[in-house]
Amino acid sequence: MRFENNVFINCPFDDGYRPLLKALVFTLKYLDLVPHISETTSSSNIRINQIKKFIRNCKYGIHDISRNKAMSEGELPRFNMPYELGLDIGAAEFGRSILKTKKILILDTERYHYQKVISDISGQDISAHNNEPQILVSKVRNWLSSNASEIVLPSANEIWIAYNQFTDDLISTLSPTYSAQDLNEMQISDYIKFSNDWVRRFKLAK
Amino acid sequence: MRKKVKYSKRRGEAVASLAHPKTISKFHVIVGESKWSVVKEGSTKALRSFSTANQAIDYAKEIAAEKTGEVVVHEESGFIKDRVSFL
Repeated sequence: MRFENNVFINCPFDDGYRPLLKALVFTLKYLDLVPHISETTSSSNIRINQIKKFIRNCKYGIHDISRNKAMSEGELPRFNMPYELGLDIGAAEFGRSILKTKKILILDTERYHYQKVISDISGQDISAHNNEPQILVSKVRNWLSSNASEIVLPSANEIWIAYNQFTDDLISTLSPTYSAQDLNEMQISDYIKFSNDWVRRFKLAK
Repeated sequence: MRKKVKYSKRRGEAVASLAHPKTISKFHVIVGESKWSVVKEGSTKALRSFSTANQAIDYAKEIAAEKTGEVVVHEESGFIKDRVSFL
């Protein structure tokens, strides 16, 4: 794993978030970055150790705290995301020299929600995606561009157009064998591998 | 019965093979920032952009019919909303 290209993704896994997560990992693959995400199937002990490893090995951290509130009546807010965000910021602040080069982006649904629930993170890079994948693609691409000023990244529009075509090619290929629900519930690690193959071929042809 | 989708090199290759088709037959209708674009498959540049989805779909249908192709209309999430085939 090369530190400079690694991105730790700390985000929700609920069905409502999946369209955003898919667009996010595709964007990272399109920008030649390597997304790292902790699968929820692991036990809590294994999971937190995996997260610590990601924090140590990833230059970039993308943290979505939009589920830091109940999404429906009777549901409890989730605090894993702000906890892992705190670990990542702590590593950047107090870790060995390479960790001080870490870059952290905090995503939320609405622009000022975080100020009500976790105001001490003011001063960090915070962006709102409004639950729209296209906005998320744009915010993430622009944030990466601002942190890699020597490299010209593809535009957010180019990534979005490619993402739409990848979505069609994935569904067209797999839908004769799998239902829409099967496809929707695909493990994100498998989704990343499909994205990787497709992006490599797509860019070769450009 | 539910089936778990698993990646394999063969499946990955099958999906990737569509990234650069030998003949262009699909025209995508994709929502952008406040406009709808028609994009031919394998390209990242819009053929034309419109202020409404219906205008974009009508244009995509015209060119897909000429080329005996297919129109793929995307939702705002990027997923597939509709397909119109002229094959």
